[in-house]
Amino acid sequence: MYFKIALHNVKKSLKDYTIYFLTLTFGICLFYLFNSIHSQQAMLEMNESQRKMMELVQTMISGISIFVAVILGLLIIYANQYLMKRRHKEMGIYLLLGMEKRQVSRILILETLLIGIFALAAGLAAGIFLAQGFSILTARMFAVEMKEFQFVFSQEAFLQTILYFVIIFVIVMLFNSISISKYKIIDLIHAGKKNQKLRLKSLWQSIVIFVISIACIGFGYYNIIENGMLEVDLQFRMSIVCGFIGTFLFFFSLSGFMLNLARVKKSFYYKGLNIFIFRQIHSKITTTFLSMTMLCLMLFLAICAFATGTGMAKTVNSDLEKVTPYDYSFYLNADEEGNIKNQQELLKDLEREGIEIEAYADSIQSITLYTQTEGKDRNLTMAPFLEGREDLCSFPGDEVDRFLDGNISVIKLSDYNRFLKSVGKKPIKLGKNQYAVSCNYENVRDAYEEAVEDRQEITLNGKKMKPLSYVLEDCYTNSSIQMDAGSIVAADDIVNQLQVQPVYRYVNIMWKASSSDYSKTLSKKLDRIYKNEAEGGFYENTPYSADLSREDVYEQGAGLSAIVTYVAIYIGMVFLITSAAVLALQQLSENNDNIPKYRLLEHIGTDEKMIRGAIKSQIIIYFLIPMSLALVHSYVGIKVASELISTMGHMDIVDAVLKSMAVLLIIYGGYMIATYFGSKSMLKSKNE
Amino acid sequence: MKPVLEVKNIEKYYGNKGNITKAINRISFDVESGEYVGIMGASGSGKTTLLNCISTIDKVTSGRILVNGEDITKLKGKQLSKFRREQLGFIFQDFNLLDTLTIYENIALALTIMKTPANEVDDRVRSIAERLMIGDILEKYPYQVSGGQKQRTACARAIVSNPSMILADEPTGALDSKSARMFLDSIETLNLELNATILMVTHDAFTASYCKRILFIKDGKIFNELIRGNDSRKQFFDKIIEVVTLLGGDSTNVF
Repeated sequence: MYFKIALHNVKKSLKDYTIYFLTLTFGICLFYLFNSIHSQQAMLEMNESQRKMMELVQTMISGISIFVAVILGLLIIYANQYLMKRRHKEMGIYLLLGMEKRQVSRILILETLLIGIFALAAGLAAGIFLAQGFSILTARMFAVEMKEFQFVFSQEAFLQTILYFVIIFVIVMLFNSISISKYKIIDLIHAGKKNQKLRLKSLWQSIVIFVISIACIGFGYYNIIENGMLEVDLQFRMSIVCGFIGTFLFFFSLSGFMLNLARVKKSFYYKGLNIFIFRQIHSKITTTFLSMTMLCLMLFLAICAFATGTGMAKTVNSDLEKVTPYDYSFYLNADEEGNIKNQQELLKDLEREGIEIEAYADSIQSITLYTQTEGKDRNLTMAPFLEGREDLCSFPGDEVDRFLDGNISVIKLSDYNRFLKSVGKKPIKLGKNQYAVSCNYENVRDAYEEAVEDRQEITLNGKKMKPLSYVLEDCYTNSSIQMDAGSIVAADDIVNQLQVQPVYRYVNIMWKASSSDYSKTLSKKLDRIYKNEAEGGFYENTPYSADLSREDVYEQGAGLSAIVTYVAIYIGMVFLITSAAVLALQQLSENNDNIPKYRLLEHIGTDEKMIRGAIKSQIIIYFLIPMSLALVHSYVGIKVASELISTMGHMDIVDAVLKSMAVLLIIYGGYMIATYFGSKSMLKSKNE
Repeated sequence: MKPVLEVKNIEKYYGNKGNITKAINRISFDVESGEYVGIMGASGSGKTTLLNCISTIDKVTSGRILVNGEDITKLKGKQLSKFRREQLGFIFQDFNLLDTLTIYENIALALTIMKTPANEVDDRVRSIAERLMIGDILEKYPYQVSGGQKQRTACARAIVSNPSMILADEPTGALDSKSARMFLDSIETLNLELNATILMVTHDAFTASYCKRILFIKDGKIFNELIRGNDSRKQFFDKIIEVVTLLGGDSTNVF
């Protein structure tokens, strides 16, 4: 009997709140999908380091999943309260008929259980199905081949998903039972006849609060732009607090402000159902401004995560070719006395351990970076290039000042030309009083370009010199990112006379065509010989300070971009669908409550088209309000974040942002349209 | 002069072949312009169905209803809405004001859905509000005013669009006796001063005693008709009670 009632109710609410159930299913599906990433390696050709990367991905995702579960849990509790509220009258009737509260709560528990089982089953089924396709994405992320198709199923993720959601549903059931024990029949029976107490704040009042909110948000923006997200200090906290308070006040005053504004323009306000639309929105926002604030901030996080995440992933991948001019690089650093090994010494050291390099190498060459010794006459800093051009450096805050005093490296022309030749480029020629400058570090490149354009003079050995007409941008050794923040290339005899010492030497190797994959063998050998003895990750006993093969860079890059992309999609998606679902739910239940109002409007002769229009405008405005502020927030957030990220490498954020925005808006728009059709069909079915 | 409303031999059946209920069984009557007509009857007598048919919310099974000579039973979709907003004004038992709108806006809404120019709205709303003595509460919300004031707001909304006829369905049903009296005075004002044509459904004899003519309905048929003529309200009230008693309706004076 109870089961029958519960089943019937579930069917009914499934029809009215399809959006909510789809979201729930989708959330569960995402949850399984991301937690099962680990199991996909069964399908992929992966090596050891990629496997490790995969494990790292999985660990991160597991951590985030707890957070995601909390978010989805809140959605379910919130939605459930909404659904309950709508059914106060029904519960009142059960109680009036003499059912005990315990029995009523049993019906509710049964319902939650049914819905939970239904959503869980559907979500898991969808998740397991989609996981098969998801591995194609994973393969692309990690830049690996796929083995033959194999059905992947992660028991771990399966059980984890069930566990998390069972916990959530148990909490929801407890919630329901507690709230039902507090109800009084009389309140339940009269639940439909609530009188909303609304008072319109006066015009000046809402304008003042509105202006304060804008100022607050502006101040928050100012702080975060100044701070640049570099450190979590007072300024950073201020920006978050101001942003939050500003957003809150914005929604607190917005509807009053809008309404007052509309009321001033009489010819607009007293047209068709505009009075009704504005008043409805006003009453809605004045009762939901808190949830509006939360939704706006969630959308903001979703957009930021999505856009910067995908932008970053793209950055990492697109730069890989540029930062790996060689097959293999060894890094040599000067020791404390200023001595640095040369190429021959390194090769001999390695040979002593039984590692043969020259036999497999097509070419081995080194490039040395010199800097001026500290002390008197120190003039080789970045200052000549950056001073006065600080605004071209995209460094947040005062970071650029620290840079100004930094040593600028010097490279011998012969070294540089040897590099150019080995990568198949034309050597450069320098005139008598000429130098060249090399820079590919994103944040200062513009300043260097400007300096070259200005024909910036520098003094080397007492001679004034002019620069080559362009900035050299190539990476002259393998590295993870483009990190040359400025080097001077000058003729060998000039460098020899300079008061400089070698600090870095890069030994770069290209393999012969016949042994093109020797990198792997070499890495393994080196690992075996040195890394076992390495303590705490520092290879103190190696004859070099670091080694980096092209493959290493690619794997790291791919792994990093995979992590970032997964996390971005995961968090972005969950936040987006959660907030869109809450908005949709609010709208649907609101519209359901408003059906008598629409019936009245119809009764006194309002055109059906006008009523549909009123519903449409309300939904559009209600969806747009939190989204538009979130977009403005995101614009600032992404701008700051992209500056921060560009310190790690060039970031073509515009494209990524636009693409991810398109995806977001399509999903969000989809929710909006579904809400409209849901509301329309509610109105229709209740009419008959 | 042509009557505002001509109801010609209408029938309304509910149910299907085997089990037909005749809610209205051949009713005909006319309402002249400026008349104040009451329709009385017990619960289930068909009076609300009759009102619903006239207000085009419900469809008649057969017969014709003419408003200003136009057959409204033939209207469809958009024309129906147009007819209702231009020719009719409604007063409901439970006020049916929109709780999110102020009193002023509730009245104005009847005009704005007719696409009345915005500059006319203000004058019309204020003048009708003055007449109904709610000019001082225009900026308040429905929850802030009394039941009687709400009902007068509903009156103002019904009359502000200058309809051919006002339809009132148990308008005093949710009011205490003092508010009911004030409200009925207002309706009388509409009728006498603005020459509004009013058709009111009620089962309360006191409310009905304000009318100029009363149709009694029983089992879907017109059972009796009373015309006030020059009677005082007290005399008219007594006559109504007599008919109600005869009718066996739901009055306290049944026995």
